[in-house]
Amino acid sequence: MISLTPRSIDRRHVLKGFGAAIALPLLNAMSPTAAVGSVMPDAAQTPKRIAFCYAPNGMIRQHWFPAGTGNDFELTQTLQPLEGLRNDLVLLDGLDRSYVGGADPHSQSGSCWMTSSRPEQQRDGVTPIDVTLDQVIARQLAGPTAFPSLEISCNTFTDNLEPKIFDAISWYGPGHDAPSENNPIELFRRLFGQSMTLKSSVLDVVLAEVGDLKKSVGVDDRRKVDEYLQSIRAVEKRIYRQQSEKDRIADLNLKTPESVPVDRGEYIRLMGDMMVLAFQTDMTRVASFMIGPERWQTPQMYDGVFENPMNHHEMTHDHNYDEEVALIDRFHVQQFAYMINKMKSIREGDGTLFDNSLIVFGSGLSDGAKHSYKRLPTIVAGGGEIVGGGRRLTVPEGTPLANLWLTVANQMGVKADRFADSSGVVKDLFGKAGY
Amino acid sequence: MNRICANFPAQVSIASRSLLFVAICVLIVDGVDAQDSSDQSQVFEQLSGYCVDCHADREDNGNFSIQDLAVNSSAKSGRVRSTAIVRALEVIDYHEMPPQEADSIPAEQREKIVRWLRQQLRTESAGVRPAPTKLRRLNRTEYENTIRDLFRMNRPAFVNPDRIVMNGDYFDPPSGRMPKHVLAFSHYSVAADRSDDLAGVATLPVDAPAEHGFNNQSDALSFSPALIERYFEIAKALLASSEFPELSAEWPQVFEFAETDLIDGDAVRTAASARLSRFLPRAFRRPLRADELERYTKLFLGEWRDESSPAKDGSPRTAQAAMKTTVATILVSPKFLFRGDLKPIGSAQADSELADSQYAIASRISYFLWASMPDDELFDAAANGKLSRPDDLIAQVDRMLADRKSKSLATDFGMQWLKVRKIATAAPERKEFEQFYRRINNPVWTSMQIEQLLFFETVMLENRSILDFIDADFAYWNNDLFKLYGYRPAEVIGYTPPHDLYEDFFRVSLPASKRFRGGILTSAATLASTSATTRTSPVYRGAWMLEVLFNRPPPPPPEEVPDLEDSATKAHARDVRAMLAKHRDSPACASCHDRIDPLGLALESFDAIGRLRHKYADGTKIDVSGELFGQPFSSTAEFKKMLTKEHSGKFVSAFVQHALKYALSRSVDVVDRQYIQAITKRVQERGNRFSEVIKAVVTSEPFSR
Repeated sequence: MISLTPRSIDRRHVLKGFGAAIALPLLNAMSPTAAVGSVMPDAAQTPKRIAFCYAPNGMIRQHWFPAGTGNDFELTQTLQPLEGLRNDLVLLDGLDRSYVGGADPHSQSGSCWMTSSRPEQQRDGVTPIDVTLDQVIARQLAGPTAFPSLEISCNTFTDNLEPKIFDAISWYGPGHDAPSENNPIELFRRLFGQSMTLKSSVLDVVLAEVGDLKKSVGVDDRRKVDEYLQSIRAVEKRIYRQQSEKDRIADLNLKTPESVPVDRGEYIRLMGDMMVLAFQTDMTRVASFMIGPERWQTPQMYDGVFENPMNHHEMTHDHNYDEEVALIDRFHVQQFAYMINKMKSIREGDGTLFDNSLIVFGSGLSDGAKHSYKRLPTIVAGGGEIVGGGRRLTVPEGTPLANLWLTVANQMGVKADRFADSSGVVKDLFGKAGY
Repeated sequence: MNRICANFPAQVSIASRSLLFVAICVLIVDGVDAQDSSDQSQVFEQLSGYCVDCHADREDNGNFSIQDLAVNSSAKSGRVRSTAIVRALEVIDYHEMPPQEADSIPAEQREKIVRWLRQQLRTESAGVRPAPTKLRRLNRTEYENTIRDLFRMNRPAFVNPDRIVMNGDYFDPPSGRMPKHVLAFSHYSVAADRSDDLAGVATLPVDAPAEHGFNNQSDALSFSPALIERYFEIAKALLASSEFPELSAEWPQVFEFAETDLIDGDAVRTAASARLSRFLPRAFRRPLRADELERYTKLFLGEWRDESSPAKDGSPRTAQAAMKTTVATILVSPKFLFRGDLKPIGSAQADSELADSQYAIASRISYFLWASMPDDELFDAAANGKLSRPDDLIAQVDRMLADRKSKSLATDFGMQWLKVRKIATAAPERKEFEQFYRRINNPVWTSMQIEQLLFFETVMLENRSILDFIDADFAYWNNDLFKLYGYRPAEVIGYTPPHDLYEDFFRVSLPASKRFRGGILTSAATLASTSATTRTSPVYRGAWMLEVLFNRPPPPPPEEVPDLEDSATKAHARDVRAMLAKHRDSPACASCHDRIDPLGLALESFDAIGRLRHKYADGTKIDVSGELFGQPFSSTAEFKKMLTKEHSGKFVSAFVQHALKYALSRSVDVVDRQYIQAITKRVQERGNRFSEVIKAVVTSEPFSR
């Protein structure tokens, strides 16, 4: 086995500056489902992480938003699973997104959730898709981790009939989706398995071929070639990082998940475990997590909620099913609560992994029946002193969701005064400036 | 012998290229009824009279202005007028406009207006060239097939999970007949058994389709780091597989070295270069350019030195290892993974550009008909400039359709067109629809998929009229389907097969009285996959028909859908018709559901898994009557008849559009409309035969781009 040689690395400027020392693990035995202990030796070095968790098809609003005003509210039926965590989160009310006519409303709710581009930015045909927030942050934090970002989708449908805009919330750029992993075993293999090798001689040839191709195609097609080029560059960096951390990964002594759980809740939680594990082991610091794909017109099991497969999307369009849909909403919130609890259970420095993390949970539609883009259900969770939890924050009417994204981006160290169609920041979201 | 070589023979002249153009032009100028200018303005005035109340300018309804249609249109560009013509043409031809509450257009006049609009579209689009082919990566199926053919393997390297049937022995195009008795079994029965995967690594991830399109469309096929890694892993594992040398007829010529090949540096270089100049042009599907051969030969030599230095043996074994690395690199080169027309690098000579277009056409035909790379004969034809004249192209299509590889037209184009995979995730309520799940290893729903595939293959292989898709007197059923459909085998196949057979499908001939079951519309796969879990869904069925039969998928529902006053009751509405009518009371919903619902209601006499029924559970009689394009029908059979008679052109045109989308790997636009009209006309003139669709597409102007 021949790996990328140091000589070839020196030659490649792209890799300069990524050689910072990696914290060594203190962990000897850990399985994805029962992880304890800390990988990060001291608080000063603990990195900040961020996760975006997306739930499809909107929420039944009357069971989501608490009644009354002020912070002395009772958690609604859908949010009940978060009871023990209310001091760790802020419930946002009043964020809107702009919908662009001409495409299925669902096609923009997920795919444009983190893009949030201005409606006139229709870069991908009819859909205003641009680079998404997670990718912007990933580029900002780029360097120290093998995976700049991680994309997960709990999509187990096998009919393969829906275009990717219904199953992608993360985009490298217009029309260029960051494909997600839906198989925990494959995800584990990618994160911790033996790194593939890439000889510098082979890489040189491939790059020369890319150069040829770029010269021989038109402007439009060049974008496609760039997708290839960016991908192979990312692979090159990842191999280098994984090679240099080989021993550290081996010492973690992690166990591959044995099988893909059939029970839907168990499956989603295992995917959540994988995400948390990737944070804990510092394989990535940015993750997006689709708890289910958007609109898929296909029934599936919600184990423990209903006895038979249910068609979530179909039910959202019939108010007679509001109670049932709310149970699915609650089921998704349960999984979200599990992920927070999991992160809280992992010691890191003086606190926990959760103390160094920010998680946004939400849907790209509010009322699924109406296809409404107003009052999007959104929660921002964060441990320690990141968000002063236990409150709800009602923003002025018509506040774009992008204002939240800009606020989050700033919090993660992205210096920008605008993101997509933002008109400002969400005031009073974070207790302290920067974290 | 190597059929294409590095030194491309520039035998093709410019003359043969212009010949192609002339031929195509002749093809599209179909009998235009000459209308003089006064007649023209008269038709416009009449049309305007029907539309102007609501469509005086673009600010009005539907962002459509009748002024854009005027002969001396105020529209700024030809494209604006073409778009307006296409919009008007569709809504008038499909009887969607004028709306019900307005004056209707008498049939004769409607026909005249439609004719005029078609002719205007031709005039407006004359000289406007269709969009060029886009660069795109091979999709999973194409990648797998290309690997199979590139290495001349006698079986596929991967078990493609997209395939509906495992075996294809029954499919024998030269015979021109599908057998009366077919043995076919699905993947499901060999549940996820990947032991047949040669490489021992999972195949590529599945490709999502484009919206209202196929999974070979450029914009739907992206690259990602994870995907690139898979390409590297698969290439390496494939070549490392111990079975590979036996299965690949290319192995000896590419990977085997003799001691004499390795005597000295020069010998090694010569041996490597000979092997690569055989392999590379086929991998890139065109003659080699500039320094491509040198680049890979250098890679080989470097690897060979690396491999042999520690052992100092320089044996054939190490040369083979070096060749494996070299070939694995070719398999991840963007030139292998991307499909598209590559312009020559450096000084562009007219001749070499033409040569490029010949190879581009070769690839385009082979990925259309075979979902794989060209074979030697196609490469030869390209090298000799024999892919220019329509006759040459048609001869190639005939030859290629007679090859078993043409099965991919059914498995990839046909099954995607009919959305057959949807049935895999249908979940009818288990108690009421127990029959759907019968047989654990070969559940009835897998037979439904197979039925649909065999039907498509029959129309294709027997070169039947594509109108058979709508209405046919034949089908392939197994025992489970006889039962589901309520037929005694004796009445449709003449005897009773042993009751325990279920992988055996029999060709049935439907008696005239029970013919309503034939065709894709009333097959269980369609009916069950367009139903909800507890009931039928006329809305899904209608939407399915609009897309599949007419290529006019309903526009997306609006944002902020208005609340229905009193929406459907939770149990299936006693009167589905009344429920849907209520739905259409809202003008925002009616504009689309007026199009969708009546189509779906025409299939109400089939339940949620496709069984025939005459009454709803509560005893109410089922009413399927309705109107299709302004004409009443009272039964499903009548509905089908209208689709195959007076409205057959609409279906043929839609089928042509689906085929064109698949062939071009892109969506079709306004510019393509004139060509679609011409192709449709040509197909109709030739008895709507399946192969005529393929031939007309392959010889069309958009395909040559």
